[in-house]
Amino acid sequence: MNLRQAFKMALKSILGKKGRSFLTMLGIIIGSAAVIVLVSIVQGQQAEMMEQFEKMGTNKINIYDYSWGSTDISQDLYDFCLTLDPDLMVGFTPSYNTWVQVRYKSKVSDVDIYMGSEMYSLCASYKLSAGRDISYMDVQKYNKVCVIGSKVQNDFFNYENPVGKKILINGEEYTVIGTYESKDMDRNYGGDYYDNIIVVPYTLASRVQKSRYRMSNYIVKASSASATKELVKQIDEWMMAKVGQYNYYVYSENTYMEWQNADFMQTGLLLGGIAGISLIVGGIGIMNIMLVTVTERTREIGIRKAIGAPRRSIITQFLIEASVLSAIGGTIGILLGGGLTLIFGKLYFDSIYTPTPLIILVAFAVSVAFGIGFGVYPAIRASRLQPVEALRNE
Amino acid sequence: MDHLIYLNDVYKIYGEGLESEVRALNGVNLAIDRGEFVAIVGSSGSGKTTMMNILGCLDIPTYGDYILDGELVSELDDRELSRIRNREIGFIFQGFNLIPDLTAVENVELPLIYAGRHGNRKQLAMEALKRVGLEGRAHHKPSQMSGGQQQRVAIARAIVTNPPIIMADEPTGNLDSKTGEHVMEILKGLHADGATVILITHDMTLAREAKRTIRILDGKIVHDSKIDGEDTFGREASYESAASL
Repeated sequence: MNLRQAFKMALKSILGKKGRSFLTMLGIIIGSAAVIVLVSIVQGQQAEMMEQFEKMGTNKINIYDYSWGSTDISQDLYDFCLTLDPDLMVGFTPSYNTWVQVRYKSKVSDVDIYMGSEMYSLCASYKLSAGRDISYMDVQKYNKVCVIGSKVQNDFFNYENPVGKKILINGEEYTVIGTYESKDMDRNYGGDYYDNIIVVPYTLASRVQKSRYRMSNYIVKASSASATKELVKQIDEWMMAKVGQYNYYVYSENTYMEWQNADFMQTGLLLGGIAGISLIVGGIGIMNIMLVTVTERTREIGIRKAIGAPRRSIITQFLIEASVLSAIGGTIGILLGGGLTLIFGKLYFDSIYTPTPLIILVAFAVSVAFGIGFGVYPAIRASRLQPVEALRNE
Repeated sequence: MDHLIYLNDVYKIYGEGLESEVRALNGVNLAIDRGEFVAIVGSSGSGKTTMMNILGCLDIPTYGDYILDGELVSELDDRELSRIRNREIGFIFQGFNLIPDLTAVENVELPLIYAGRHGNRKQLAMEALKRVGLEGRAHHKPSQMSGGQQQRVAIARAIVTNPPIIMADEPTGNLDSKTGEHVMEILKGLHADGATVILITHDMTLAREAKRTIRILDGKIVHDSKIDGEDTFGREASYESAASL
């Protein structure tokens, strides 16, 4: 008897007893669906969070100067940053913001004004959608220019092209030289807050503020996650020497991301473990049913042996039955799990999550492995029967 | 010694050494040659079914040798025993023993599958069904057929591999007399075609159809007679003695 025959025979036997086959598969279906749903949702949320972090700007080091007194460290910090390894540091900008009233024609609204250098968009991860960015010359020459975020553009200009238009910031006229693409942030992570901004050269801070202002916030952009770590250390040392302990704060969102990631890993492992247990229970269900099946079909095994089925054929038949059952169960479970992942993701998290190929592969492989593993024992037991013992079983 | 079947002092003992020990076969010596039509008779519990199980390699003797076609059966492994059950012996059981999930033709095909035959399996199975007059029911499941039809399917399954030995255990036991006669006609036909037929029954009228009658009582052969005159026992005499028991 070849394998194709054995497969045909197993399929015939499975289809011949649809009710029993379905019950057998149920455990595997529920188990693999649970694995898929739980792991996919955790992974989906994690990916979503990472994406939000990327949009906020990764490898970004925030520096806060809390020191009292009138010394503005901007120039010194800038000079220090120039001494940093250019392979590690890719940008530096002051980053001070204040809410002020903005007017264009008859429209009035409060907008967050950021005071930055020509590297602000690089450091804060904004992309130009039209016009040009703030230049080094704009900063040096105190040019009254600005780049606006997408929400500002929509609120004030509608279908008008904002580039070249003049807006009033705190009563003073500024020329719009460019627009930023929307960051398209999820509302859980701030929504369109990041698009409701206007960036002006930091040298104009006091004019925007209408009072003398000392820079205190800065952003340094690093080239990679490891560069971020290294730079945080170096900047921390410098700040310590410059303004003293408790007078500054240097941190990177990467640190926060790492914590979050570790958190998700743990949640994923926990939920995956719970789902894995249900998969094992499903596998034991298969073994139970296979044992019952063997007992129930002892007579059939006797008949098969009486007409010349060797032990190997009986084992093969039951093994294939078990693995086909669990493969079908696994496939249904994966489809069901995929569907439920989409539904739950939409209902509870308002996002579209899909299972990754890896988890699909793992769930499928585990289902089939369970089928084979738990199918072996009853199959071997069945094959050991003497035909006459099996036939006596009414 | 060129017998097809040779039993030498064969015992089958259940629960040996216990108080409840049962000697289903208690020192049986028997030789059957090719082309014989043998009826093994005995009341229930006499050990005749145990005998057929051992002759059919469905069971192994506790003691004694069984030589089938020159091979010592007790020394064969599972694989070789399977081959013998598949190629050498065709079984017909009282309870038909068809696989309920399979159609008639699929049931008949089964021994060919285990024999590793490819290609014309369906055709051979259909031919076997034709020989028992059931080609029209090939795609029915056992539950959709009468007892007589099921038994004919079982016969078709027994003969599809053209085995030299046919063993039938009460083949008409679950059938009405008319269907039973039909089944007996088929068995006689198989014998006429050259098969060695071993029929196990408690029914003397059926046993009368055979050319040789072996009577079993309490696990021992108590009577062995042939109707073609070789045996010292006359035909009539053997039936009388059988009837008196």
